[in-house]
Amino acid sequence: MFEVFLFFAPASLIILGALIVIFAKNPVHNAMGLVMTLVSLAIIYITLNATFVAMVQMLVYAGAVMTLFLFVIMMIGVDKKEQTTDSIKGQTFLVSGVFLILISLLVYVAVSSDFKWDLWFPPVEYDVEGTPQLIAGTLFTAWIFPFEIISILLIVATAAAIALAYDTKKRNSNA
Amino acid sequence: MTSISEFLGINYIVIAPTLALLLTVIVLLFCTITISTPMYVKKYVSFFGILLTLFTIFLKFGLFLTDVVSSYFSEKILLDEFALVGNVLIGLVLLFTFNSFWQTSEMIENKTTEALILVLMSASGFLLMVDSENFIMLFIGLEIGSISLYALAGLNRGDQLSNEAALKYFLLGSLASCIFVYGIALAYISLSVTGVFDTSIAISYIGPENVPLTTFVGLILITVGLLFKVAAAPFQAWAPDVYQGSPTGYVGYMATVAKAASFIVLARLVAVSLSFIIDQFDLFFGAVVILSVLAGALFATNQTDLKRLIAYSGVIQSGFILSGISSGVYGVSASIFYLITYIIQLIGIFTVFSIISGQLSSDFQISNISGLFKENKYITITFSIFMLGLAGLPLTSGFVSKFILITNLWSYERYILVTVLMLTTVAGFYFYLRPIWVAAVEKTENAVERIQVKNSDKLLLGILAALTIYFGLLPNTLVNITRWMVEGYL
Repeated sequence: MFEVFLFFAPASLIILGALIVIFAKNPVHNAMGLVMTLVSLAIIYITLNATFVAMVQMLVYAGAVMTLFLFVIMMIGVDKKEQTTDSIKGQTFLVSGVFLILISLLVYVAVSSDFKWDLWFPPVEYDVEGTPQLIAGTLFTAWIFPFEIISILLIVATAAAIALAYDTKKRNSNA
Repeated sequence: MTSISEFLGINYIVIAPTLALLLTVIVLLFCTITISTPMYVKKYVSFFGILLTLFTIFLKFGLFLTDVVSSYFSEKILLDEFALVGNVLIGLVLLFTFNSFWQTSEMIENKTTEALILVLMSASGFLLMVDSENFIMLFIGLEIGSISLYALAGLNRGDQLSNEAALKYFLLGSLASCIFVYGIALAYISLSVTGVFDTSIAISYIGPENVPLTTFVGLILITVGLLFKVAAAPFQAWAPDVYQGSPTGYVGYMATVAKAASFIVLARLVAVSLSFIIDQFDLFFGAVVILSVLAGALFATNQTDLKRLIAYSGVIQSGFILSGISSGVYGVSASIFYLITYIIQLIGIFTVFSIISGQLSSDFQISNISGLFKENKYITITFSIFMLGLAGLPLTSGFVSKFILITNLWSYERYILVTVLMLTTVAGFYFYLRPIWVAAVEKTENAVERIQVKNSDKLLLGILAALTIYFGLLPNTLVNITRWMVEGYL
């Protein structure tokens, strides 16, 4: 019973978050809805015993990517008037068409398998304990060199960003 | 302590070129952020760093003599003939293009250090790429190199074309990287390996006829990611815009270093990983070769911008090199020969361009060199030698490389490829000779005035032109080197 609760609580939160992303008027609320979806997804990963994936999900998606989203929203401004007309002609028609195709595909799969599909994965025989340890074990022995080399990649990306963003003329006019 | 580092295969000599470049960059950074360093100090630091890199590459030959072909860092870094030749090639590209990229970096005030860092680090990335035994290591090297090149293309912020070039290069390059990673993933889910040699072993274990479709798609996607970097058609769309828009002083470096690394890696991929199933890739490689030479020749004929012309000629040359890579072990050695001679000519041509039009300029119309011969005899003669080399005239290295390549194709009975390549060579004479005609023969009212050429540039052009002629007359040395590269795979 507890397992069912552990699944349905985050699952309903995922759907709720997704609905907020679509229907909220304020862009910041949209972003927060996305955070809700991603965090609930991380909880589901933990229940599936994939703790490392859950951590990465929290750090990268709910943390870094969402911060970028919010940055962009703040830079553009939240008080812009909502766009009411389609930016692409026949946008609504296209989207509903794709949606109908997806729905009919799902229905087809459900019907053709005589509703015998099992949502629950079979219980795993072996128990992997703590994926972070396993990943760290390989990452810091066999993969230590690529792991260290990533630092060069970061230096390069930083230098490139500075070189491109740093405008010589603007600085001269300010001085 | 020793046992752990032995167990992990840690060896600092095998990554010494990267470490040397990293050291140079750290010294440069230190000079810039602490004390105001005069320009000549930065120049000497970076030049000394490049010499140090070449010396460490020399050390790797010593390691190779004792260890022969071996892998380090738990099968991430490989020391074999391809890696050695690739290292030497990238080191020499750095040395030969130093003049151009130093002068360009000097012109971009306040960003000199950043520009030098980008150049040196991209070289270190490509060095790691040719050294890598693992596809993921290969990807990291490729990304380090490419990200620096994207930024180099857009360093001239005041120029619209430069911005466009950087953005285009970045977007298309990222797409190619995605394709490359997806290829690695597909190869991994079907074979459970990501190594260059492991792939070959896995394929031979399950038998070449039982190889699943996923593996094929994965390996083709990996190849496509690399083909993008060498601008082979139909993945060539970025090349003309990037060559045209980037600061002229950098284009020589950008074009050659990416091509050198990617072709060495492609050659190793074909010679090692795909060796058991290479006949099933014939159609793919053949189509890419024919598309490259045809598209390149078609678009090159009506270009008025010389940098675009060279970009499309690069598409043709990529097709030529690829035709050798996909046809047998001697084909691979012929391709590497072609690659080395092509790189020498390409560096020479872009050095000439940056002397004539200035290091930071983007456009380089063909009218910019009309009547060049009148006042600037030395530049025109060296430029003509490089262009004739690209066209493949006898007495230049271009002819020898095409000759070796096409005789090898003939012995493999690829008559269609031979016909197409020969026809393209003939068509190529039109657009390779036209700039020479404009520069030297055609009468013009406003000829280019006398250009002051630095002695270092003169020396560099002299060396490159002499090499082009030398490999055209006495190609034995280089042919033997490229044969030695592939001896182990006969």
